[in-house]
Amino acid sequence: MNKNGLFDVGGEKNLIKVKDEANVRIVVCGVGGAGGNTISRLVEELKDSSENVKYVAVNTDIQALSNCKAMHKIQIGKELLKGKGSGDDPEMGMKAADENINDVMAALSKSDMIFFVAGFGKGTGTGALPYIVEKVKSEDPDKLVVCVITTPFYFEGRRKIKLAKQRIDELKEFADAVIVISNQKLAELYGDLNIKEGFKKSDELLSGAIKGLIKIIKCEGEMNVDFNDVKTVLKNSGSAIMGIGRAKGQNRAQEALRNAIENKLISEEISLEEATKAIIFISGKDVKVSEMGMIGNELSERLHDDPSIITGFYEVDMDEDLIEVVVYIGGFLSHNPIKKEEKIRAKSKPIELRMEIDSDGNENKSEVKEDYDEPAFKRRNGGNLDDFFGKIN
Amino acid sequence: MLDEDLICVIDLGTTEIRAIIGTYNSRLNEFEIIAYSSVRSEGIKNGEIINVEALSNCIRDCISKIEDSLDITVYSSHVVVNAKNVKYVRSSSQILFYDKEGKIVEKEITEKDVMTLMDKVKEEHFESGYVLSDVFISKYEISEGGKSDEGEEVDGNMIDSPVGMSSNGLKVDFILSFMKEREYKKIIKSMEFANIEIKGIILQPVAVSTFLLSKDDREIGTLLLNMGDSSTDFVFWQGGKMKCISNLAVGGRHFTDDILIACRLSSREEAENIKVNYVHFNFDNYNSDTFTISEEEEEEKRFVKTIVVDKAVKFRADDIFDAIENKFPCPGLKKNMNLIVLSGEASKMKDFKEFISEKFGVAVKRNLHTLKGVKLLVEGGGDVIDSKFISALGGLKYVSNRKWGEMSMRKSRRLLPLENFFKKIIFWR
Repeated sequence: MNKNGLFDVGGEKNLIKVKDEANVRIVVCGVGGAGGNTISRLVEELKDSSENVKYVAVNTDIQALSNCKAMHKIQIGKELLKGKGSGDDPEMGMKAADENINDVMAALSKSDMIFFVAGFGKGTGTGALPYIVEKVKSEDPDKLVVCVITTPFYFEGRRKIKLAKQRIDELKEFADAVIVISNQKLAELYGDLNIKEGFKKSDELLSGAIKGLIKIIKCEGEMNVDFNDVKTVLKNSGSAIMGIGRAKGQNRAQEALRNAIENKLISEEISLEEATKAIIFISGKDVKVSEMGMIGNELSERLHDDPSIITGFYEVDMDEDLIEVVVYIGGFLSHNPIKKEEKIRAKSKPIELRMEIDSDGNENKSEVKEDYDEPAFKRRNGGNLDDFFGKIN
Repeated sequence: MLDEDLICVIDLGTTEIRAIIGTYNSRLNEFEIIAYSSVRSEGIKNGEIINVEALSNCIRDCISKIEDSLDITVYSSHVVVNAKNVKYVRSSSQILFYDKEGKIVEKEITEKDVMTLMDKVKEEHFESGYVLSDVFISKYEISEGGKSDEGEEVDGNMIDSPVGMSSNGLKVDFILSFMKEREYKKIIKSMEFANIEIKGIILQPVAVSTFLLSKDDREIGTLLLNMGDSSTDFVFWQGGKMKCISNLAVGGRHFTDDILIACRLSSREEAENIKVNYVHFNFDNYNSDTFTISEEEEEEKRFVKTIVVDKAVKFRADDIFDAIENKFPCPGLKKNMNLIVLSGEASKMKDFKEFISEKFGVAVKRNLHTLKGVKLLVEGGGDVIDSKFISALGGLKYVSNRKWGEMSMRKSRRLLPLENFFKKIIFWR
């Protein structure tokens, strides 16, 4: 914090006043390798604005944990894995979390909001995180839990992609909001990145998503957005989208909003049409009422009919006429979390409705659909075709 | 060609957005296309709109190409969409004719009677969470003893239009297509953002079958099996009318994915190549052939016995057969089906035609997607329009047939709620 009581959020020049009453206790918890990397990055980037933010790293791999910059480090699966990592096995990740769940819960207690960060598709993050989130929410359902997850690159294999998707669905049963960042989309957008740069970019996005929300909660503006506003939008939201956009010039308001909501890396498989809630946080110099109105109206147009939008604003001395818009969008109609008991009931139905008319020409609503995404040779034959393979030396 | 005769159709495909402007002459079975364009599609995945903004940008780009080439502004268009989010309900409805005293009487059926019946159909059918997108007449039936205008007794199956016949009532069998309201709204918004108003929504299987099936095909009892990337449409025509329509969530992608998994490949492109070049559906005689796989990241070449892929796709084909035999809601299909027409992905796979012919014991033809009868009036020649435009062309033909077939009946009445939006398709600058 500098002598004027201002601090530099994200290492940029947008100096923002910290709320005096900003006593919301936030925990940022990275689980697994990717989660730990993000924590290190956040600790570095938000070192001046980390009051009431506690950083926790949870991992099975003792070496990765020792390199992490979090103040609180918890090794899980000490007995089971002896500090050697989960070997890409999510089952091991879950068992490791179970072994040391009391340590994890102790580190996460005394918080109003927890951000969990992880990369899905391998072992520790994928296996441990859904288990930890379930425990946290069963202990205190009122706690706001937001998960920011990356999904694997395509080159990491279909198994990992499928696994990540399954575990994200599980996570949505318990977490209030799950923000998914697709690494594959990142690869498509930044095609010329090498692998190392690709993972670095992915870490950047994870930390960016969290930074944005911390900024909203902890900074005081002319039109304030507080923790309860954030809670209104993200509580029981299921999926969520977060974006930051900046622009300058004549149409800066619209362009900044567009940049924020057209963040294709984050908006995977989600259409804004289905969103019912949003927070917009606008910062800049000499922002006009008409620009605020324009942003609100345009976002409202793009969301579901009559959305609930909370708007915040702070005057800040940014470069030239730069304007910054941070948006969090939630309440997706088709991505509402399914409670666990509902899911169990749903599983008892083997197949779902597809064709509507029976052979007598009457409507038939009991007809159902098979899971056609499962390979037919497995579904129909339990198919093992391995016997037919060979190698040419 | 008059400006008001021109029809604009946009096909919202998973891989490409395509647009055409032109006319269709039903007497000559000829299209006259004055402009067409295509752009890579974004915002649609597995047949569903997942990003309205991205899709609307593609639509705008596609239409801008046409606008620039003709120096016109397109204000509205018909849209062809896939039928993944559509359910079909078959039903029937009837009206009886009464005199002033309330007695049932025989009278000549008028266009107004048909319209009254159609309005009744639309009013009576409602599906929660769905929007009625189209009505297809499968059969007109006039009351027992009904006569043609020549005084002969008629078979309801053979009636093309009941107008002018005498009867004491009229019954109609029809299929209603209901689109998920959520998907319907996304289509509307995508077009709105692109500044194009929707004149009507046409389902892709309807458009494709309208284009591909000849008049004879539609008469004799033909099942069109149109396989897209993520789903397959089944449309059965007989007596010149669409009798049944349905959709199965299995498409070309599923065959490719099964090969990818069976051969443990990481490249979809390689799996696609195998699907087109190595797959045999008839493998009753043990096939010991092999082919090699050499993906970039593999250090050593592998060989795979052809029978591995053959078996993988055979089980996938069983999904299709199972749907036709047991799930396709079409009474009398097996009895009346005399021809199967394969199109899309289904027409690309080697010997699938022979395989399906043997399975159902009927003739099967592979539609080669020739664009016979399509005249290009594009100034300066331009690229040759290709078979990817079949859905758009089918949509144009469908709209044109409906327009002329119903023009005298409809006058100012509407068929679809959306059609009320528009007065003209395009205005010349």
